Amino acid sequence: MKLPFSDKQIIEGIKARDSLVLRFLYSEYWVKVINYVTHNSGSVNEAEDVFQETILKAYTEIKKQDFVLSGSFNGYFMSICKNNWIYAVKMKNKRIFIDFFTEEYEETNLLHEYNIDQLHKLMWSKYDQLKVDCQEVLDMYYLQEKGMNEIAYRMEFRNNQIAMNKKSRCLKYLRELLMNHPSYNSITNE
Amino acid sequence: MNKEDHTILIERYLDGELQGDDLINFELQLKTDKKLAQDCFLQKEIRAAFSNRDVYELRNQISEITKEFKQEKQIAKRRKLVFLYAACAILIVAVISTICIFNKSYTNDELYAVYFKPYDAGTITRGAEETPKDIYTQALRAYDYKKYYEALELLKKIPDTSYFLVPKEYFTGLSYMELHKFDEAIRHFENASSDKRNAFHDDVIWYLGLCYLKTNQTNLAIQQFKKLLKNDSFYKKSASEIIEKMK
Repeated sequence: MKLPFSDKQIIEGIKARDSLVLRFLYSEYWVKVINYVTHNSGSVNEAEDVFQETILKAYTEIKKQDFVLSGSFNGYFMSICKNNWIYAVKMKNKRIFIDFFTEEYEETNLLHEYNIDQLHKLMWSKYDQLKVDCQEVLDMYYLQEKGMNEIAYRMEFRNNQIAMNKKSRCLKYLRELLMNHPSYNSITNE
Repeated sequence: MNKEDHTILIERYLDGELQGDDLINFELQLKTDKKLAQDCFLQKEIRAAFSNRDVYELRNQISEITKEFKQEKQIAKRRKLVFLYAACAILIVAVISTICIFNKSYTNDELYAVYFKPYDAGTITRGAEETPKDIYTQALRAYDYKKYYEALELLKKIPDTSYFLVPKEYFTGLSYMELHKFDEAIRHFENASSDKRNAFHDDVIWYLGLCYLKTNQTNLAIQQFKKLLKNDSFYKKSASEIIEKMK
């Protein structure tokens, strides 16, 4: 059956975060990924996580300037999916599966990348728990790269020292939220 | 150095603001102070996460698509189930309809046609010498030869006080039945039915029931057929069947 998108169109679509292409990934790969993970002793929930992480990983890879698709997109996508599941299994110390994955498993710094991705994912989930003023200060500083004077002006702080203190407190609080999360240690202790 | 300063110091380091001895001292401290190193790593990764804001946005986009996709799948699943139930319902209706067609409630006319068989008065084979009363015999012979009007005329000649009153009423009823004059037939069968000891009694009840059936007096018909279930009547089996089919 002819697919609605060529590999090139899929790559461009993922890069542009095109909803149509993303939805196509669901229709084409959702069942495949669920089957792969559940047939390798994973749960459906874990499979759903792996599927989402696979898209995100593909996105971060594709947007790199030196990205070249050497084979088919299908093979590329499924290899990311398999690696993601291997890392997830490793993270959970599911030793019994390692033998099963022997042929596919390649010890690389990809595991470190996977853990960093997980840490960023956790960071964003904790960021959502911050108060709005904290989110605004951190956004202005890290995303919009605003100086403390401008942040103080926009947030109606009396001076930039107050803005700096506010940013520090918010950052410290975010850091603590991360460190107190149950999965933090397993993510950072590779 | 309090904890807040510690955070600020890391930020200054990451922003490239530390220089000279401050930078050297901080980097030395990073190597020896595990907590500082851990916090520095985390603050660095928080920055990195912010720099990959598009990944965060894509994650949200994917979460939304996941929700929608799962909902669509559920709807599709439900539709499938509805379709399956509908197909099952159609099948059940078809099966029930088939059963009903083959076990249908018969119309009274249909039942009458199935169960009414002309009574053989026996005059053709019996011979005249076995029936001493001439009129009665002639009437029965006319009946057997399907000369129903002639039979009726002859039967009328038999007086009501005669020993042959019940047979007279019975064959009069049968003749009217053959002529499709069911109301007349009923009247004569009802007269005949009053004598329960008569040899024709079960026959009278059976044909009376059929006449009620034919004239759509269903309850009366059932009452007559039920009478035939109570004893070892010749009509017991037929009466049972016809009652079952009338339900």
